[in-house]
Amino acid sequence: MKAGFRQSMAWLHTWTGLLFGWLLFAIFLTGTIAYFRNEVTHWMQPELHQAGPAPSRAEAAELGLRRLAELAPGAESWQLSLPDARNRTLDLSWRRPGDPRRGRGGPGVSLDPATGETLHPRETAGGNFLYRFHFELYGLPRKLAHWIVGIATMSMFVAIISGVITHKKIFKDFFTFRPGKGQRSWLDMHNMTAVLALPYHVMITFSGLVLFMAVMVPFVFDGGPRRGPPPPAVAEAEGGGASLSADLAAVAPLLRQAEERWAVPVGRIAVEGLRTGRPDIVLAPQRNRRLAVSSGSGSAGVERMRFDGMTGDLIEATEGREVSAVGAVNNVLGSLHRARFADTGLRWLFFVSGLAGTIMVGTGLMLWVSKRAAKHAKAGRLPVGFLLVERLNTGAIAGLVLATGGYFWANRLIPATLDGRANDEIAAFFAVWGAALIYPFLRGPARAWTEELWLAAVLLLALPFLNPATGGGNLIGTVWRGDWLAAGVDLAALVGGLACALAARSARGGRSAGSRRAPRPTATRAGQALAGE
Amino acid sequence: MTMWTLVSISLAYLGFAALAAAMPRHLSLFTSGAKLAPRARGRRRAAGCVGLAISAVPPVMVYGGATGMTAWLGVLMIAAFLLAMAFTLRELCHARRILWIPVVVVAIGALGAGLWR
Repeated sequence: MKAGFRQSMAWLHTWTGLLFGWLLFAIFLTGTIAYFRNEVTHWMQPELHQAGPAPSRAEAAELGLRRLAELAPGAESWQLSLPDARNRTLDLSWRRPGDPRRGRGGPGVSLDPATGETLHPRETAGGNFLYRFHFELYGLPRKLAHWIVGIATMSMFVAIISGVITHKKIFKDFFTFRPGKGQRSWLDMHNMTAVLALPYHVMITFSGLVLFMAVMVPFVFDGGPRRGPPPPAVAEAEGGGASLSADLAAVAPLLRQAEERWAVPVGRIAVEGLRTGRPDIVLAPQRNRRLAVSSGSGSAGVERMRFDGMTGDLIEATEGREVSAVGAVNNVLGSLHRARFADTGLRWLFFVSGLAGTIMVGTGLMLWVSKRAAKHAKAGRLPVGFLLVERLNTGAIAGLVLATGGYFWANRLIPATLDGRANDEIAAFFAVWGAALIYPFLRGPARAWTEELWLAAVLLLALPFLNPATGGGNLIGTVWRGDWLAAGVDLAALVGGLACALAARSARGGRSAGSRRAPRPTATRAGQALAGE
Repeated sequence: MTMWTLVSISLAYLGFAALAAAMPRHLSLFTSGAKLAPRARGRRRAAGCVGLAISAVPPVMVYGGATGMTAWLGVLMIAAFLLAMAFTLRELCHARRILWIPVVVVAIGALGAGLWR
């Protein structure tokens, strides 16, 4: 009976995995890169790379407020986002009386925090496209896309549970990877990336489901208001504006007060109610301190300190609403999924875990082919489904990696001043992916696998050279200066390129993986043992 | 913070290595003997658990309880992956020293990150 149960779980694991594997691979890869979406967007705007080193936060804040008074004297409110480890520029935006209250209603500019000069970054889809793609896909009605990704998430959850039940030797195989052995190697890598990062997989999948809760169970769960109600309309006083920044309380002591309380740097400053003649200064931390604080979406975190704009007296400090235990669990899951609390070091840990997930899904798909290849070869008949999966695997795995590399190239090759270039970048991404999906049908999966991965390796490895050639900083310089914001994407591209080259060289896609006999020259004992079989 | 994360990875690596040294499958990678006395196995297991437990200290110190445990899980994953890769290399070329490479590299990285500040 026990064997029967395990077998049915293996069946479930195989087929849910195959059905949603390609989509899950795309979700995992783009979502993993999205941990660094600010960094990716920054990389994609080389016009910002020359921004000077930021002065202290207080000086930057004062500079920003002075410039806001010049740029937007008649605004209702000002927002100011301070430079930090993930963003080099001082970003200003404001809301004029007629602008919509929700979303990013008003105009904005980015400043060089050292000089106060306005910078003119190119328009780009940036890291945001990859971020949105991982849960909204592209070009589909939002609701439909949420359903599709939601169902994929659910099947991921099913695959995790059935996979753990199916896996016979979780602890015995804990540290085991045997390369150059075809199916065995795919299985080892699949198991290892699954087991070692299991807490992460369970967390990211379950929290992803919870984030979709309002979509998936609309009758049970009432999402409730996402943000607080809009502030009540207030009577406008005449004047205000132009002379106001001189009357505002000094921000430096307010920053100090907030940072003492939070032990996290202040990230954003808002001045609200400018036209009432009695504005408030609202400070928000750079990132959340605690997991149980609602992470919100976008900049809608809830930790705030509100000061009287004239006297600098503290009006209130919100730590987030009091929530029930269920609410707190919900907040923790949302925080964990979005890594909103994470500094750059922790972000890398999440990124590596996400890569493990990506590899797990990819190797799982390859395993499906590799497992059946030998059997079908023996029978001398290859079913259509098998041929299809084999080709789709190449286009969906190697092809997506290639398209991601192509996306970065498109960012630099499409002229910086072109109108609507953000859409062109996205179009380039899909054009490359589309071509990579068709190519295996023309060329055969095994060859297409190798060639697409080699091309992806070349694109990624050349990225650190493309960067300085098209206006960015060069890698040696940025590393020397310790400018990890600029160097990070280049370094990740190098590592990714090496991984692609390795995968192109040693891991054969398609059928040859199952029937591969000749071990690599370096493979010795283990390889010879296999060859002797 | 980078330094403490790397210190934690080194400790977790040593912990996992001790646990693996108690496993029959990996025994030959550590010692020439084919069998391990039950008491020696127990000692290695205990040492491994202690190593893993100590590796939780730096992240919890830096990030506090909840976030620290989150970071620790990431650290464990990386350490175990490094060890598995070291085992793979060790199978391919017979030098016991290879097992030390990851921990030495990571420790040097930690030192570098510490001195950089």
